[in-house]
Amino acid sequence: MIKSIEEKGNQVQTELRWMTFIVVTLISVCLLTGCGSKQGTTHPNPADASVPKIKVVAAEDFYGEVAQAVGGDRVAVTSILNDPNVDPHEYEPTADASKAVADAQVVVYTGIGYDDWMDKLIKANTATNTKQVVAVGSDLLGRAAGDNPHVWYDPAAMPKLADRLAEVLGQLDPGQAQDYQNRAKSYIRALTPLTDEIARLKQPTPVAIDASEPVFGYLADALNLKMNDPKFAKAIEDGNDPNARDVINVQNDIKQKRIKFFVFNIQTVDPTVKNIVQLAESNGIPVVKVTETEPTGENYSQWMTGQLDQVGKTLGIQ
Amino acid sequence: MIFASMLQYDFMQHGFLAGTFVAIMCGAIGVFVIARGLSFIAHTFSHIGFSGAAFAMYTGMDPLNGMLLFTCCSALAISQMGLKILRKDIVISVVLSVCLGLGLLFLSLSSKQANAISSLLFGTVLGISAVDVWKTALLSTAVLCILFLGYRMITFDSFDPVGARAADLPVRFISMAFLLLLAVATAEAIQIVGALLVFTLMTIPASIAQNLTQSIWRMILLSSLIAVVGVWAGLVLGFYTNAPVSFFITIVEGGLYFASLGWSAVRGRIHPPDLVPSPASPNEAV
Repeated sequence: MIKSIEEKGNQVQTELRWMTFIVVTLISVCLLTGCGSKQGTTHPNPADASVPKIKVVAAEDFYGEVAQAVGGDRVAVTSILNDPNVDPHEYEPTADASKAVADAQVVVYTGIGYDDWMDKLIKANTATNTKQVVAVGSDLLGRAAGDNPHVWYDPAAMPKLADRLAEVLGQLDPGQAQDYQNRAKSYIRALTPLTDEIARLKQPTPVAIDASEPVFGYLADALNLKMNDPKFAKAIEDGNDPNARDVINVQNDIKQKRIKFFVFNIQTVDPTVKNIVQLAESNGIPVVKVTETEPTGENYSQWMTGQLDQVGKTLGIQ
Repeated sequence: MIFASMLQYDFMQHGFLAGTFVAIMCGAIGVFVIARGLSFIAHTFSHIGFSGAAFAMYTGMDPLNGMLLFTCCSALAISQMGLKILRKDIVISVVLSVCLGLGLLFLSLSSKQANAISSLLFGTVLGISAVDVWKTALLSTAVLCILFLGYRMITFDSFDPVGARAADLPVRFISMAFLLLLAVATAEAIQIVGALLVFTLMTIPASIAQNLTQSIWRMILLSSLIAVVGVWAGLVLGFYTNAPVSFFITIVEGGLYFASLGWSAVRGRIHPPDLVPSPASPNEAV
């Protein structure tokens, strides 16, 4: 009799402990979320302007730049990847990025597998299917998944994007359509020094080069430079170890001076690449330093011109 | 008020729905994962899924099919080779190494970008489409139904393996079937929340529940509840602070685990397990 009461008491106590734990858990979570929300409300959204602007989200900042140039003060542009220190291959979208995409009327991204996260963010919104989506790689340049995804290095990319954005913004805001067209034209005009420079540097016959990553690929095509080590570059880009034969090929290219210069993406440095760059320097092969994304404080035109200047020097064209 | 501003976004609604389903499924199945000493395997399957996705990319099939192929084959291999308890960890390590190696091979053979593959590791909780929500709901329900149907057998075998063997239960079959179920659940859930979260939600909530209760039903309920709490807290904190949701979920679950450890230590000091607490000896409570 006494024993059974004790057992029952035990059971009741276990249940009590158990329930207390749940309650404590819930309270602590509520407190935590409470803190979070307070923090959120102290940063009011500054986007409450008098004239509603067209919200444009660009996956990468070099597209955001075009959108700003074409849209002028009629658009509010948010560029998600705008820090050259963030590896675009390992980006996990934050809540702010998701919010920006959810609210956007126009979305610009690369597509063709480069920024898959943007695909997901666009698809996560069912109610607002009115977004205008421009995938630069597939929509404007006719590339497909599996092609070199660094399409912004293609000299045709930005002019085409400017034209498309003028069209899209003109549909959303017909009263200003002509302005968008004009601004797109002047943006493209501002890029002519760049296209002239490319035409000047273009080689009459294919010139062999090697690269640490395929980043520079489309610009190399435009300059009639031939990438000799696509497999090596692809392995580095994917974060894999390149296989031994590919490394040996690159080393031989350098030692036997079969290449004019080596293109080094300074945003991805791993021991293999470091060794190759040192080998190139000690063999007198010029190293052209490029970046995958736009450096802080430079615009697209300055960024590309700076890289073309290096190429011009190594080719002996001043 | 807080929730209204957050839930006006489709991606948050989808995150809450899919996250809740995945949490309940992982919490429930996790109880058996912990009881069977398989927490390492939950981790393994997440990474094997990565190799499967690489294989799928190389051959051009749907990534989900590639992941299912790899995780199910590994489940069969492990259950065939690793029946002796002592060898289990070694077999799992070997299978994991081989699969990761194969994954690297397929990545280098394939001409496509590896970005889609690396996004599988962390998932995109804030980028779940409506279709994905439905898929997750169906998968979780199916896994829970199968668990429910086999509940008696799997509970007996998980919590009293010696007794189950003595009672002539088909232990070999049970262990294989459970591994297969785990393989399917992991492969599907990875697509939604990423490998890190699947592993977190399958092991931590169940370990907490085990610290707090002896009853298996309560363990399952508590474990699912803790998993759901973690996911919700992660989504809310992620929404307001802009840090990754996965980070908050892992940190909340980890924090709860340590709290539960402290809790059971305090409880053990107040009421030593083999002594019945009696009001006559208050000194013991100090």
